[in-house]
Amino acid sequence: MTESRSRPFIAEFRSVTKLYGRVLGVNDISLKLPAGAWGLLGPNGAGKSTLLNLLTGQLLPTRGTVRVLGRNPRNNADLLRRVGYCPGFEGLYTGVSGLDWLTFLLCMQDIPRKEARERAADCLALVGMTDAQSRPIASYSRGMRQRTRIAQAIAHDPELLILDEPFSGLDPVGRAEMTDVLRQRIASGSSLILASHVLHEIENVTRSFLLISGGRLLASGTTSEIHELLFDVPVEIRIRCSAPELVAGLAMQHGLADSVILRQGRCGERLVHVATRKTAELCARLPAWAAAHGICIEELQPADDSLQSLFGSLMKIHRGEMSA
Amino acid sequence: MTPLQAMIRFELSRVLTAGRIVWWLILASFPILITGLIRFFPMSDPAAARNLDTHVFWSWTIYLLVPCITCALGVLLSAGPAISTELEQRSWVYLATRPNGIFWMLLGKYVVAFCWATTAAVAGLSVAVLFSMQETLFRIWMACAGLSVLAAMSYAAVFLLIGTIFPQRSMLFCVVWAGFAEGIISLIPAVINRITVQYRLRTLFVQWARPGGSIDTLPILGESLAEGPWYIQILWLLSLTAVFLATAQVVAHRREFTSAAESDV
Repeated sequence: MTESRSRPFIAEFRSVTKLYGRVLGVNDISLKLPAGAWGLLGPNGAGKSTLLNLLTGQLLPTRGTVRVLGRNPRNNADLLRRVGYCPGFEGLYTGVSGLDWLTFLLCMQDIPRKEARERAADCLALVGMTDAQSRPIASYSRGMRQRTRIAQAIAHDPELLILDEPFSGLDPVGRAEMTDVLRQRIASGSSLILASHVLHEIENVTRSFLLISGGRLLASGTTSEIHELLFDVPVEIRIRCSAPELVAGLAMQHGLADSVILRQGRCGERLVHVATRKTAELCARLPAWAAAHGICIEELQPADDSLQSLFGSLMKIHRGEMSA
Repeated sequence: MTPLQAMIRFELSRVLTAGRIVWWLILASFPILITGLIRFFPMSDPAAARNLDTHVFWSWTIYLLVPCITCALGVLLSAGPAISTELEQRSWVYLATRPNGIFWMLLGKYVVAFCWATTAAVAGLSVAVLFSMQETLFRIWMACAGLSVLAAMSYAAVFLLIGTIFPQRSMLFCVVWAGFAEGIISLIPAVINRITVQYRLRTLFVQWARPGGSIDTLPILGESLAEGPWYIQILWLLSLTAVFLATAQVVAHRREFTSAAESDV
């Protein structure tokens, strides 16, 4: 589909800050992304969409400079011929068919109408939309609309594909199929920037990550580097048991806890929250402690959403409030 | 197919829907309905009816109904919300991320708005002028058809610019502009009225349709009519249109329309 392409950097941010009035979109981000596939991971409201809007030239940075494939992306027709973008929201014309819409968008790329029609049909076939391509978009399910949106991003065979939450609304089969489509594109030499708040969605496509939260770039690297980083971040575990003080004391005594907090649950039960960097070791020791001291352990689970918690910890590290 | 042709073709396909065709018919029917009512419900005062110069009356009535109201309303409905509808349905980004997408989008929407309003106005004019039953019927039709083209061309550019500057309240601002600038300022005998479309259209109407024989016989309007031959007036309208369109393009390219909601940060 695409000849092998090599570029020094697909995206370059130099001290980029974007403010929406008094609201911070992204905060002083500097990065250089070599060609390849990159996952942009962050919780909702982290600044992922702002970053992608800056990349596509939809937004201007308040401070700093953005370069995509070495060019300023703002109103840059030459660059837009080489970039495909799938935003994180629908915005489809419901009165037209998927085939007509894609044909129109390809004609907007200066592709002759006949060729555009053929390419649109091929691309819709690639995303499994052949049967529904002539139906009005209004009759499409959410998953079908998502497939159509992915098709419009890849139809003109762009050098760089920028996708914002591309798997949203897709069922597991659809996710697997679209993952395959993206892998094929990466294998054929295209670069990809994929934003999501779901770690495994990105992991299925690429091993290179950017972690963003609160408008800040917290970390970047390969999967193993990120896992290493996350491994070092304290995780808070909630244990509901018959002797929380004893468990807290044992965890501290064995050096398995950074901190412990004794709390009362909603129904008056007593809980211990253990912040630990040695989750696996703590979990391994608990059965032995339970047997030795006659402790009844009723529940063991992360204190809050693990990814959100990890992002919170990374933010603290970023601000210097916590050491890694 | 060039991007402009693709844009026009796509926009036309969206215009040719049942809902939009009904609006087109309503717009075309407006001058027919009003002139029909005037024709079939004559004045109750016979003396006033006898004193009425029917040529002046019908010429001005048709001019006001077709190029002024029907055309302005037509482009107000189509060009005014051109940007806001794309932003509201969040389809803007798909066009804005195409090569020169914003440029072709504005131009394509302008052409379609012009065609939509002009065809409705000329269709309405063709029937409405028959109700006038004037000997100069063909002259009135020719003048008003030409003025409809010029009015749609100019007003579409004005409303597209207003829609680009105020996308969130585009229709409101277009109505305010139409009433205040084109309705009031165009009649003020001062330099400011020269930048209004209505000032030029009125002058061309008086020159082409000759509703009162000559400009000299219309002392009330004399102060609010432009000097110079018809081609100078057309040149003015073309220049104003070009300036409004170019400004709309500059504004649209400089502004940050992301289609994104605040929650998408």
